[in-house]
Amino acid sequence: MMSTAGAGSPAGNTGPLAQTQLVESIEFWMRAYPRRWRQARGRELVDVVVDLAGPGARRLDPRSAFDLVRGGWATRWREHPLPHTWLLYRMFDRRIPVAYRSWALDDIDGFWYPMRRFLGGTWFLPLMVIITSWPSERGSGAAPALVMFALMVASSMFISPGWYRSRARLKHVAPRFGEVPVKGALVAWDVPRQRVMARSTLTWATLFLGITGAASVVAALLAPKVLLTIVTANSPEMGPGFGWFNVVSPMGGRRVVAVTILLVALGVGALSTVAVRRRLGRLLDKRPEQPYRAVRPVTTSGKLGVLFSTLLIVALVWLEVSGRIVLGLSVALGTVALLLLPGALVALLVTRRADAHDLAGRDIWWIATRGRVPRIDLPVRGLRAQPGPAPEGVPVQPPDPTGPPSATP
Amino acid sequence: MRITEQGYLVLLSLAEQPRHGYGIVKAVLELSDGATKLGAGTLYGLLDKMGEAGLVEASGEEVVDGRLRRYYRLTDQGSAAVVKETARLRALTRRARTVLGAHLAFSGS
Repeated sequence: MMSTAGAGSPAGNTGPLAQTQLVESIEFWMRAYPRRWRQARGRELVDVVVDLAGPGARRLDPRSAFDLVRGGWATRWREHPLPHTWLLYRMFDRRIPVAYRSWALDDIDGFWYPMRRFLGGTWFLPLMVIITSWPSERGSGAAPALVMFALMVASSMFISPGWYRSRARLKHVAPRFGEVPVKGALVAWDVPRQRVMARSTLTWATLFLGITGAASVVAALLAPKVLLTIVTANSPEMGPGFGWFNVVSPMGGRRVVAVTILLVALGVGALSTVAVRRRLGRLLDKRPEQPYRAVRPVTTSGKLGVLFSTLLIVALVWLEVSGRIVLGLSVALGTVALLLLPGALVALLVTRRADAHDLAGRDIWWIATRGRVPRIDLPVRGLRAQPGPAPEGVPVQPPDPTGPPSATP
Repeated sequence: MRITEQGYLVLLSLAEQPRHGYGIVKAVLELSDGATKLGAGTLYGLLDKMGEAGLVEASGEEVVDGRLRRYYRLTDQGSAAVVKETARLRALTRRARTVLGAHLAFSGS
């Protein structure tokens, strides 16, 4: 139970460290509330809980924590769309009614939104697989398909999440032309193009390419099996004319071929660094100003995507090295990785030395592969709060396309 | 909107003057003679529901000792609701006294 502080100066003599710990504890439990609620009233709620906790409290007691969690989930439940509205929104991407726009904005900005969106349209697939493979095979035939589905679900978190979010915001949150806006309504507007910073991109790309290249070399050195394609001509088994069939074979001399392919890729990649270095040195300083661009580091979602992809590569190599599958895919992926790795490494070193705070990873790719200065990014459609007070009864007007973009996306 | 005992106490606390969140909790504690100690989650759930029902509204905010104080006050609709609820409770109390009086007279105590 909270110890109620004195009437005059509640929690007035709480030490700074204790208070910081208490606020962190409150903010942790307050995550039960919807994001927009926390943004609007979180500070007020924290201050009230600090007052109620009394002097010297370092963390929230269990009863108060339960009270916050219960209040937060009750708020979520109260603001959640009705079941049929939610189903139409989630499964068929039907535009959410105006009353639930705030809820939809929280949903779209939530960390797991890409996965929720994917599952909303595909949840029936694993059920169909299980039903169709049952009972003749007692469900065992469904396992590979279910594993594949699980990988697709996990991948959905990292495949263009920003694009899906942006599209969903415009569809579900932005008022359409002709609607009467309320104060602070988010309206469609031209906003700066978001790009990922070059240093951040190259750091993570180099890490991924390096691990992929090294893993493919390990697979080429240790994998026991390879798939051979035998071409036949007028053979008794295959009949007249040309034919072909695949056969799983021990590596034998093919190991040298696999390793050579990877080494040649690395060599070609190393040679390409000459051109990369020359192009970057020549064109980096000539790049144009980007007035309609906002750069940011790789997001948490992007970092998790790199981690997930790396784990998939490592799993693939393990399958090949343990002989469960034949060597092949890892060599193909490793070839691409080793071709790109030296260039990425050189570009990373160049951007670390250069004044490159506004440089995007896309600029590096453009310069390195095309040998031309990058183009100027154009603003994109996004959301921003209605600028200035919205006169009562005036419908949303289309924004002026010739005007400057907003500073905030 | 059905007014619970906790909701009634919150409305009653605001009938006297606009109060901030912590002030409401203290006032409710005094009004209930220490029986009702509102947690912050419960309080803000009530304020949200009453706000949606048009019974209370925010009436301004200030920062005191680095803490944000947002004040709430009764609307006209909220004042009418608390008066109506008080009348209902008064009538209930009157009927309860009548019943208890008859019961005590019947039992001879």
